[in-house]
Amino acid sequence: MAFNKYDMGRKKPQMLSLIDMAFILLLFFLVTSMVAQMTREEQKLAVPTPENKPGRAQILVQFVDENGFLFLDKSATAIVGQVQNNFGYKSQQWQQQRIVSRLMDDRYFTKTQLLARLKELKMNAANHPEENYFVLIRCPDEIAYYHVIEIIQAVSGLSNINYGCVGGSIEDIQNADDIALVTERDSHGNKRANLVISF
Amino acid sequence: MANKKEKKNKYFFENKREIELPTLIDMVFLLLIFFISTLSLSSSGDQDLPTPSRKSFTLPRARGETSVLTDEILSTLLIQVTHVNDNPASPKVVYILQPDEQNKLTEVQALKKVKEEISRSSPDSSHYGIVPENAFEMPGAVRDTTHVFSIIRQNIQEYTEEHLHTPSISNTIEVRAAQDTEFGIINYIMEQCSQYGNLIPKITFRVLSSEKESLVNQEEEESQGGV
Repeated sequence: MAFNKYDMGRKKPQMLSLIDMAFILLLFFLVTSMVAQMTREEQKLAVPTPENKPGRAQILVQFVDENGFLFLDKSATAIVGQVQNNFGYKSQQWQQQRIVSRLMDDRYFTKTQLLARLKELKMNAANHPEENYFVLIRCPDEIAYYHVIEIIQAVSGLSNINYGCVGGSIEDIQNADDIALVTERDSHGNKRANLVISF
Repeated sequence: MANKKEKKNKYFFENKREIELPTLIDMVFLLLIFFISTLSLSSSGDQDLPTPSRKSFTLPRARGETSVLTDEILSTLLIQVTHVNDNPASPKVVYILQPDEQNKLTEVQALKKVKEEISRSSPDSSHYGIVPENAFEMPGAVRDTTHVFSIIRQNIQEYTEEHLHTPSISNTIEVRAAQDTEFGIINYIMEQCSQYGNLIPKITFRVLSSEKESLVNQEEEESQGGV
């Protein structure tokens, strides 16, 4: 059968449709950039008043800088014990510097890592409501406070987690009078090794 | 037959095409939408906002609990830390805004009242102070005696003695501080509040909602309002 063969030829691009597309894309990127810059809503964030009474902290969060933290919990006692056992013959000052150096190597966290650890802490606290936790946040006075707000927000929300805020830098720990392990009995009568830093 | 087909094809492909009207109408509507959206977005910044405007106040980004209305009544002591003339390179200034007895004073009115007080009296106002540039190089005991830290302490003490007689979960003091405010100033405020124990069980910080929060709220509103 003889079918008609159309010589379709080359189709020219539809200019008007292209112009439509150009305007649609322009509008799209214009609106999204405007929306991205729009003022966000001001809100109120209530945090518990920190407890700044002298006492013991189970967890110490020390700001090294805006995005680096030293996180000391009960696992830090193992590092201190190791240094004291292996280098007991060295001077107190040498041991102290070694302890701080090991802690900085092993317990230095970025903000993301710290927030993940604090999230774990909150989960543990939620699963053990009979346990009380106290987190001490030490931050140099010059650092912008919004960094601390993020940390406070990460630890607040549960009645069995309290926190305290004090000003202080990592140099205070490095130049502390004494960093030692002290064996004490906890509320259940069990022996535990506690890390005591004397400023 | 072949000639007729050739002529038909020739006509079909070589004849000039006229501009299509529906496409032109599309373009007109597109331009209309473009100018309407740019006009509406540019005029949204002209609303009457408290000074410093909520748009320019660089608050921290965090997930807050309640929204702040544009012209909110001052219900508690508000400590506002901002830059002089909103210039980020300038020193920080502390305004301490107290609610009135009838609880009818708005934030804008309270700030205006403090500024009038400053213009009438000397810069040593009891509700206004400039943070010294070397505040955090001073020893803590010396820093606590500077004017700005003294007025923070005195105002918190006065407000607590006058208004916060019994412990209550609703007792609070608000802080509205520019994002780059040093932790030392905020820590001082928190230390002063912590001295009163259960009388000030919480401190309320003004924050800007984070991007994720605003998107989540938008989605929730759409799902509730949608058909």
